Amino acid sequence: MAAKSALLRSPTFLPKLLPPFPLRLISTSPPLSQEPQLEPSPSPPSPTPLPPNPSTGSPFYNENWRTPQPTAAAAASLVPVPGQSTAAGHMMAFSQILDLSGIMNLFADYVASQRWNDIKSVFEYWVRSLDESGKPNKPDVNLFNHYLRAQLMLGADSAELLDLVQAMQEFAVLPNAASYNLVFEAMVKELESLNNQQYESADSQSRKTALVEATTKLFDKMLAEGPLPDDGSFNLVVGLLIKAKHFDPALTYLDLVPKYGRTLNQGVYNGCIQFLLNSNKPDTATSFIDKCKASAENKNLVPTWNLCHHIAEVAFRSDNSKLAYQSLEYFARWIERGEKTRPQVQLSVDEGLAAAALGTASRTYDSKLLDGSWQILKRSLRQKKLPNPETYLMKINAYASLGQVKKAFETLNELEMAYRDAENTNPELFSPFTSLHPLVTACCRNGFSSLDAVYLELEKWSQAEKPYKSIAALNCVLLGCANIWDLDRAYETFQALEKLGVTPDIHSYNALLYAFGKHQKTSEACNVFEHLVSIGANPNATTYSLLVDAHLVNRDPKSALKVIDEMVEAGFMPTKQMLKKIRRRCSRQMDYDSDDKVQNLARNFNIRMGNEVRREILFNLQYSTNY
Amino acid sequence: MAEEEASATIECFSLSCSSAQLLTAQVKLTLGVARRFASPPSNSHARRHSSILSTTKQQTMSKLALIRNALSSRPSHQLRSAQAGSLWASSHRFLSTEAGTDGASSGAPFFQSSSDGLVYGRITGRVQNMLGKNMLKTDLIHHLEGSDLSFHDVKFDYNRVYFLTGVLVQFPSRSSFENGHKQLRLKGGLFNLQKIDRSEWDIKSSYDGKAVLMEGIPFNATQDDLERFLSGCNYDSTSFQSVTRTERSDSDPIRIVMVRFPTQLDASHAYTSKNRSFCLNAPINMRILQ
Repeated sequence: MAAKSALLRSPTFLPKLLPPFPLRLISTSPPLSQEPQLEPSPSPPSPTPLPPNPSTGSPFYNENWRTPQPTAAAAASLVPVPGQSTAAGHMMAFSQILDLSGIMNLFADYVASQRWNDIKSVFEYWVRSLDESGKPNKPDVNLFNHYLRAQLMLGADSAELLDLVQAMQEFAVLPNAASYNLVFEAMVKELESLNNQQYESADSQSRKTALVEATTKLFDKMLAEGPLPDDGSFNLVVGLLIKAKHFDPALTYLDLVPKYGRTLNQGVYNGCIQFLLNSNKPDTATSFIDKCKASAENKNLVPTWNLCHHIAEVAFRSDNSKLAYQSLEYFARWIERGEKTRPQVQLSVDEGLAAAALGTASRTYDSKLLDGSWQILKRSLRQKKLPNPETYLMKINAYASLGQVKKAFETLNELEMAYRDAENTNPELFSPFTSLHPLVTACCRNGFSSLDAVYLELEKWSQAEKPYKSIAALNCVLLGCANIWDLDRAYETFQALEKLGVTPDIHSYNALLYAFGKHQKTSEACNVFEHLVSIGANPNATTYSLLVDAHLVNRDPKSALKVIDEMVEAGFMPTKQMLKKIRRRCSRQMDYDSDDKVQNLARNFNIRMGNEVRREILFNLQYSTNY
Repeated sequence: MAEEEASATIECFSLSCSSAQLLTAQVKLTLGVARRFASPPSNSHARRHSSILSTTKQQTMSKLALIRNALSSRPSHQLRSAQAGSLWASSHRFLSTEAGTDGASSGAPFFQSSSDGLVYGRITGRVQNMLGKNMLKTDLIHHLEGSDLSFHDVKFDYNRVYFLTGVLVQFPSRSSFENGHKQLRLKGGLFNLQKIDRSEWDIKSSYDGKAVLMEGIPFNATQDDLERFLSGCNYDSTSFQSVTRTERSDSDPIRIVMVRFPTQLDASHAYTSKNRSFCLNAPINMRILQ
């Protein structure tokens, strides 16, 4: 049966593989038809079939290889053969006498010198010639792969290569992963040429989809039955799918990578991450990176520097703290790598990027990301420069949102040591109303208990060996007390400032003013204001706005306007919120004179007041009994 | 004057590369000149004499000063060279290492130039034109450490859709420009530095960290909505500027609004507290413009 099938196949096999001339010219007899050997006539009813043809391993066994082989001289005399040089003829003759290992060495030489034509012709010739024992030469897998490679380099189509691979089976040679890899390479080449075409026609689109389908089918077949795909196969197939932008099959194959323990190469790794980010799947990217790190072969893969930046950008945009942390790890690895190479390359992460990471940590409540971003910032700055004050503030914000008040105060300590006495520091840097506001809210998170705890801690620190006496920290406590409407505690804290050995600054007075004003103790608030003016502390914009608020709580727009006049004299500008509040109070009390004054002020300072429509909605609800 | 020195040293270099003999001849000439001026006690003599000479002689005189310094005060350089006997090798090495500093000091009086030595450069990203989106001015100053830059010597160049295309830098002297080149190479070669004209620097204005970009604002948001988004922050309400940008060819356009703040601290406070919070149901990404 095998012989019969071989027989039927061989006439079709021959013309494709070889130019017909050698065989035809050599044998003077007509092309061997196989009829004499087998007769399809009804055989005698002997049920026992013949044993199968023992000569497997080459389809050429079926030919009449008992015809005398041409001698070397005869081969060399085939000069009139078109298209072949004498050198090739010599080669072919020489190859006749080589055995398998000899031919392998010969082909290795040819591959090195890229003589693909020679490989092709020698192979074809060798396969037809006889070896020492008089049987047709039988190639093995590697030899056949060389042949496939030669065909690929000579521009064979992927379909042709696939046919050749199937033909391998006739030689009783099982194709291995390398053979299929060559087919995949042909497919990749074709896809690239399609991609490089200028105009995308429907034809090329359909061709592309056909290619992709063929690839996936072949790969599935390999996974199911054939030789197990190796690294090269995975890389080629995934690369091809990414280039053709078919991401879902690519993802399924990527999942298989760790299962089969294969290693991805760098380009494919980069490509995968790039497309995962571009297609808006940060979670998939995270899990992909995790899987690669978990597998032993892939854990050293690191994307390019620019791609790391891109990963970080996507992570911050989508508030994905895991992905952000992974990008920081990649940056750390790059920095390490840079420091190990000679000459040393000092890579560094931008401070802005670390600040954005701190912001993400505070929003996603991720302390690992917080620590990681601070570490990488320190590493990048390499002790040559201190972080900016804004970065410190972001770190305080992050700790405060996580509820780690102690660490937040420690960071405040660092900030003060670094920037308190610097020359062009903004005085608002330590204001609990704006910059340190997150710290204030963290202090009073659990009401008075947390405030007391913080105060006691600060007291302890101020009496430690290295005393930490910080008015900024105590101001935060003070404002915290005011925030929870606890006037007594606020006043006590204010008086304790002296005991702790710190002098109150403008922010302390502001906090006290705020505390009094909230409780409608307007006269005390004004007393505080006069007190601070008499000491010589300069009121700032916050002082005036708090004073205005105090008067408004007392339902006194006229005094509020007086404060605004003082403020303008002192050189400050009233804000839109202030004027709007006064206007509202005037309209509630129907105080039209004051309202006119407010309008004048708005006009003088070019403040666009706008209307109160949204606020009025609540008052304009129509209650009715209609349904 | 620093530039002249630098060009003189570069000339020297090119000569040495081409033919050693020519340089030895030149060195002999300069030494001969030195001998002719017998024992000039200080550089001032050399300067006075050289003011009479032509410009080429001026350059050799400056080289003379360098070589005299080499011979008199830096024996360590000579010791360092492998062929200690070869004079021109040591002087050659000396010219390569000391040119920037010594030349500037000794050549100062007679190489007066109109500008005060400021050199302007432009930094762009090398691969795919990428400068970090989160880069701060301080980051760049730290990158170019040793070039003695201050906060106001750096201006970030944004295009119409607020994409960072390059950074303009004002170097205080030629040597700091060279140092900038060296630092960029040392830090991984991620950026290119090229020299530009002063006019480009003067045209550009800088946000100085006082402006914030809000990306992803819904298209139906009014100024009131934006002000409500920024409540609690001290911003300049006349400064809103709106632009539409399309990220990639296949994605939707987004609306971007720029707002200015009176101080840098106000801008960073707004960024810290309001980034990724919502304006009309859409989360807004914020960036500080330098």
